[in-house]
Amino acid sequence: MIKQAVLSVIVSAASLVAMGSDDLVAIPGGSYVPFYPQKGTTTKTPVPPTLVESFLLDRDPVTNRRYLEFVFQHTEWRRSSIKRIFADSGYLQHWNNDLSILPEDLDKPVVNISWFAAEAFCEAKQERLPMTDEWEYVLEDLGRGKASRMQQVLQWYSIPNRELPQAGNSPPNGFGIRDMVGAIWEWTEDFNSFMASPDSRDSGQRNMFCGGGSLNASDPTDYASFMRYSFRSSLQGDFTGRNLGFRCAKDLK
Amino acid sequence: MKTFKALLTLGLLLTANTGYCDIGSQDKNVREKIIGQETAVLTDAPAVPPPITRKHATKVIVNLEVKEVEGRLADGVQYTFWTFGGKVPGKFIRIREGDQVEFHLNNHPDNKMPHNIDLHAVIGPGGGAAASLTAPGHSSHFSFKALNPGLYVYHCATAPVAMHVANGMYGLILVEPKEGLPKVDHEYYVMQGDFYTQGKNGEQGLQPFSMVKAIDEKPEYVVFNGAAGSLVADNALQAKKGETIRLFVGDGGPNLTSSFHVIGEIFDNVYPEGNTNTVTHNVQTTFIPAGGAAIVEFKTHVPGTYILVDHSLTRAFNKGALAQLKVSGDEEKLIYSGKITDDVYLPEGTGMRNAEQTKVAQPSAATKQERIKLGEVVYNTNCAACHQLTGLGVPQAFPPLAKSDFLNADKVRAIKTVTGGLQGNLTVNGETFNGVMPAWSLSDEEIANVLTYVYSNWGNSQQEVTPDEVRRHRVTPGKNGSE
Ligand code: HEC
Ligand SMILES: [Cu+2]
Repeated sequence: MIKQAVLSVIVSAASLVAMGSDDLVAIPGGSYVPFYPQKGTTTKTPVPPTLVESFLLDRDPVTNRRYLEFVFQHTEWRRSSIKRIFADSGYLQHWNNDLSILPEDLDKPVVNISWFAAEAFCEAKQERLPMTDEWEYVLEDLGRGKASRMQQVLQWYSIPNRELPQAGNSPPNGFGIRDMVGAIWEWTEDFNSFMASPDSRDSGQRNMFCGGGSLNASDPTDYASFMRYSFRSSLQGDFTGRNLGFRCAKDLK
Repeated sequence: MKTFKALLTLGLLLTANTGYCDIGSQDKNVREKIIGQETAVLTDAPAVPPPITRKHATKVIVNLEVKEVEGRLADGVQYTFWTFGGKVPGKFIRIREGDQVEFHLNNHPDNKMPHNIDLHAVIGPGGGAAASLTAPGHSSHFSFKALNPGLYVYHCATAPVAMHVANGMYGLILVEPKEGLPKVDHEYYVMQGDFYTQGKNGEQGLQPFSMVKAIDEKPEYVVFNGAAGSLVADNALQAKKGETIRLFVGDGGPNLTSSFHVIGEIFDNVYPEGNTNTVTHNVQTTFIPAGGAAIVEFKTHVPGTYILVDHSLTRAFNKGALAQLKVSGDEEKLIYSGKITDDVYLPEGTGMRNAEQTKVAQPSAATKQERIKLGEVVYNTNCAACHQLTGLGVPQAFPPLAKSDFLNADKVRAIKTVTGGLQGNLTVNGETFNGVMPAWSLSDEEIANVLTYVYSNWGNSQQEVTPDEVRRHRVTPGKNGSE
């Protein structure tokens, strides 16, 4: 009991200097060419453009601080009480215990989070996880700065995990969104519903990969996108990872 | 040596008798009884796990950990390798034909990428790839039965496959034939791979992966065992004179094939493509495809340092594909003498002519008829390969000289074309060409002769070109006036 009281003080005091913002940013709708089509939607190559409607998206990934506030209220999502079917044993493993974390980590993106937990967090705020199309559309940023982004992404993807930076660390993209790449992987609502196969060279069906490249991918030289989609396809809802966090989205209406 | 070969031949006969060449003969491996269980010994290159002495199939547990690590690619050059077991190439796995393998792929939690494994020794879709896709911090397991003996490559097959392989995700698995391999004194594990860094070869510091160079198949490094110089000096492979050596050699690629050669050795035995049922003898260079392997065996006879190379030599001497085998022991003059003398070499007659070193006089044409005759020789040796003996050229590639409007319209331009070379868009008799003709470093006389020959044949304008004209209108390569 005493412990909890002390923690809540830390939480609220630290709120004053919070780095990552919990702002939602309005994203104007538009269309983009997804790297892979969604399962069962098309077997066409090239992949046709997908329409994305206007929506709201967190400016920054959700931080440990915001997640701490959440589990403070929603006890069933604490590390010691979460049901195993909702998160594997890595859940919040970088925290000291249910409600404490190193102060310097407070404003870093929260990681070691399962899809179920991320979903619950967003729901508690009447929000949701972004769809993969929405997430990728925002990353694509209407084609702004594509070449440099691809190289930056590739560079980050190819080095093993290091200390995480504070959330909100990177310059905003054209939509005003920060940290989409360069710090963590992020959950999406429909992370597993794209046609990236677990064996990327699957050649049996026409609507799967072919040979070493891919019949289906919209740009077979875009290694960075290959990595994101294969990362997502390696996940299940209860998985957690030291570099896997999330941000929330919301319908505009 | 004799016994060594005899043993092998015996091995061959044995396998031949058991009829392995039949399709589907592995079927009896499916039914072979599994007795007991053991955990596979895995080794880092160049070490190889000990031969299997078991006379029965067993259940073998393989635990392979994927780690993304920063390491040395060349002196002063670091690279982030993705590895099966912490090093490139991945751990050597040795099992016996008929074994039941329980394979655990563990993806270290500090890794950023999902990974999987495709073992070429596995029969089943994807070679295990789909069954083993594993997120960081997770572990997956699948099981397979080793039906076909041989030396096989394994590699990661997660998208983008070429990048996972380019970062070092490959290794070898030996499915040892039931009767085993003949005994040798040393077994070593060597695997070639090509690396694509953003910085040029030798550029210092941590070098990121270059997607562009990978797609263009233009590696900055081609190395054995994951780094330039990984098997030289103190780390060279070792043997004593008179010992037998077996190399398990793989090529991880992702792109280049290897012309594997040991300078100063002849392979007594090669099991091409890692196929343990076929042995060829007395091989100089063996071809190892990307995603393939070979077993080579030889006996050392003469002490010294032997260089292992990819005999595509700029890879060896400019990109790193070079390793050493040091053979110790007493000299063996009978087999290899070393240098005995070093004398001045004077080819017959050279002593006399040294003083008045005149240029060898070329035959010079006195008449147009002679010019045409001499020109024909120049044409047939230098030009016919492209423009054909008929002068008709090859549609879309090499323009015709026969009735060529380009040629006949302008003699000076023709001289410039041949002396200076020609490239870019060109229209001849209404057809467009976009090729390259190199500049010809032929003498004035030769060019005069060949052009006169061309002009005098195939319905052309019958003009004569003289050496003097060629001298006056000759251009330096790349500067012909035809643009
Ligand atoms: C390696 C192939 C090759 C060889 C060998 C070669 N050429 Fe060509 N030649 C070409 C190509 C290709 C072009 C057209 C270049 C372009 O598209 O701009 C050409 C163009 C020409 C032309 C002008 C176009 C025309 O059809 O009239 C002449 C004249 C010519 N070559 C003469 C010669 C003569 C003489 C020789 C031998 C000394 C020779 N070539 C050897 C490839 C060759
Ligand atoms: Cu991999």
